[in-house]
Amino acid sequence: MPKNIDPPQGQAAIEEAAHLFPRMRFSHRQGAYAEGRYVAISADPRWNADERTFCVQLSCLAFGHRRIEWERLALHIAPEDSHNGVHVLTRLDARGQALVPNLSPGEYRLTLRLRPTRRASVLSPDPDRLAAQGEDEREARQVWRGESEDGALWWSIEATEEGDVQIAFETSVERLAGAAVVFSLIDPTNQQIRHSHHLTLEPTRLPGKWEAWCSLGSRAEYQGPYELEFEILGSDGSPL
Amino acid sequence: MNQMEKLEDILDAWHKAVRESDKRALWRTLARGGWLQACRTAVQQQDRVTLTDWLDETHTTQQEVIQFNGPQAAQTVYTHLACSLAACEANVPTRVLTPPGFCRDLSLALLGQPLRQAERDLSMTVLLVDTARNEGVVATLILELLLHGSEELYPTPELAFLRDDDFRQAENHARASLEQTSFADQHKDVRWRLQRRDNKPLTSLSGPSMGAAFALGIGKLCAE
Repeated sequence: MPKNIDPPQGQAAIEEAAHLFPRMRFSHRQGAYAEGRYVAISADPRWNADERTFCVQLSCLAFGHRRIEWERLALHIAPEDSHNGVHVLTRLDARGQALVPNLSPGEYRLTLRLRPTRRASVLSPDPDRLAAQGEDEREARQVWRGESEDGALWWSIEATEEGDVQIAFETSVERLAGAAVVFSLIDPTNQQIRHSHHLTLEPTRLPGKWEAWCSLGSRAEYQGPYELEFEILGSDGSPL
Repeated sequence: MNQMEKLEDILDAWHKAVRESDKRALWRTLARGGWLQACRTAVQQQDRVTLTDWLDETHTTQQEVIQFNGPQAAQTVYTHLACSLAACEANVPTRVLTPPGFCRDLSLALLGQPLRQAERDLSMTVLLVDTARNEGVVATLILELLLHGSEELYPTPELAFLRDDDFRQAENHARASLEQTSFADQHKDVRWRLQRRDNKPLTSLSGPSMGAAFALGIGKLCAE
């Protein structure tokens, strides 16, 4: 059974920040600032030492000393031309801040998710092979597992014995039938999204169970480690 | 995942596989020799009761396992079980099982005996793609011409579960090409096997690209 989740404190401030972020644009040349009734948000870019990339400090400051549960709210940073350049998925800390260490020059826009997200480390690199291990010895299946914040959705990601990487989401909760699962694999060193995909929870052969799964490709292309983050969306695109 | 030695092992593993992804992993093990080994053990032990249970459509768990990977794979499981039962019961002639040529070889494999003797064979070098490692793999395709057949083209039992729908369709198209050759009225079969040059095990056969090699090989085999 799914556990109940209390809404984060200061939901109005969070919702206002989520409303303000998409209006902002920042680049390597110029930061950004916006404020509303409850909150001020800012993006403060600085060149890195290599002078080819820049970092950006993102901040949410609530007015009036109110306590806001910013922690683990995800911020999606997308290049203005969404088809070119890297996408970043970072998370705010308890103080409403996030530092993105490495962006290529360009203009970016921001989206704040309204619910805290859980991240799990997956696809850590293979342990060193022993010298005596045969070249043709079959690899073992490696599996990473977890569940959604409310326990309603189980996920697993595995490297099969053949070296194929597969991801699966499974639920027995009927309200999630037909829902979409949008997941990302994130490079933990720079928060860049290495892979993002959209799946739909469909009925399995067993009644009362729904699953979304796909093959991501060769383990050779997914050396890891990555952080897995996902959200469940209803048919209207709103988070479930 | 451990090798499945007995049909009971398959049921145990199925009960432990709570998630769908674990069931897929179990099925991969079964496809890579698990079904063949479990059926072989049942034949060795003359375990008609268990084999009959697996063929009984009212046994829901067994049917769940069999049906999990789709109708084509399920049909191959039923063929294995039926051949196993036939191998246990001398009064059931294997010729009633279909496809007859494959079932004759499968029955021999289940009994631990050599497969049907080939009249002649032909080897071809083929290039496979290991999609998991993104690399080409050189392999040898061996086609064997067998007497007393019915124009079947079929794999050795070890490879029966590894083929996806596209691969099977390519096989069917190549088999259809037999009908255009002098081979058609000779009541012969062609059995094929495939072996990687690096001796690593084959884990899946997907896509239609082997169709050309089959057709070319059958043509050469018939012309000799």
